[in-house]
Amino acid sequence: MLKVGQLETELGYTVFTMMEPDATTTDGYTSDLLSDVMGNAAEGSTLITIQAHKNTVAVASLIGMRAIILCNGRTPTEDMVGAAMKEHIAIFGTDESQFTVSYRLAKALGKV
Amino acid sequence: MVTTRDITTRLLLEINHEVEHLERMNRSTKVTDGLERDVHTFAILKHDFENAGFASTEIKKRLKQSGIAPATIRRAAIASYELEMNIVVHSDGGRITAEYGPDEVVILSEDSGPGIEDVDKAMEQGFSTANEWIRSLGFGAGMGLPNVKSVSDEFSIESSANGTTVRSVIGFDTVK
Repeated sequence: MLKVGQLETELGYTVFTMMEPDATTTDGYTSDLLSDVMGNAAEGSTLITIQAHKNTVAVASLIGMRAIILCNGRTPTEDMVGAAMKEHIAIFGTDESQFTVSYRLAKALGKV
Repeated sequence: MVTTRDITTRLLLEINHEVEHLERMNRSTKVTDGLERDVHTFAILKHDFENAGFASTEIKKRLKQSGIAPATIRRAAIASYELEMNIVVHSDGGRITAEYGPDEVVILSEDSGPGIEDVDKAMEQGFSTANEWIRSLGFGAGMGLPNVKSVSDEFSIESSANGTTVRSVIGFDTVK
């Protein structure tokens, strides 16, 4: 288990929006296919993706995800940040790839 | 400095926003077997990615207010979102209707065409007719309809050139 705020303080990811740093995230899911995320990601997990648009927030919110990490230097659109603020989902960014973020998050969550 | 003009502009924007919100959703009641059921209908426009997810979010909220189990809400959210996206991505526009009963919610998706050429193929995992642009947004992976079917207790689909109708029933007591 990890606090959403620790994605910034411990893993060093850039914050685009973070309304609830004390919310907890318990798992991670790595995918750029939103139907795959919708069908398979666990509630309370953090989404690792390059899909930096508003629809990603809709999917994350509907299945109860707490945070989104945008990889490979992608930055969110303005309406994506607005939607995430409304839904209290944090968005982070990094130059790291999905692979690197996945193993770093897995390690921080004590999964490996 | 904030002028009265700024305030008026802002108020007008908010009113427009609220009217749009109301226009997208229409509430009614229906009486079946002597039981009154809440029926919510949502208009969905072709390629309206901006508002995609509105119907599913409203359905999720409504179920949450009724104290339905989170796992069941998730199933209803998956079914309604996938159906909503299908209308946005593939159809000429349509609507999503949610009918709330005491034991289940019935989610009905109806569009006005152009219809699915091969329904059996569309039900196959991984089959999609979405274009490159849609795929680049993370949609069109060929998982939508199979996802809806897998979370539903009852599922049916009918399609012709005049449109496609999908019916998904999510029972409140089912453990999936």
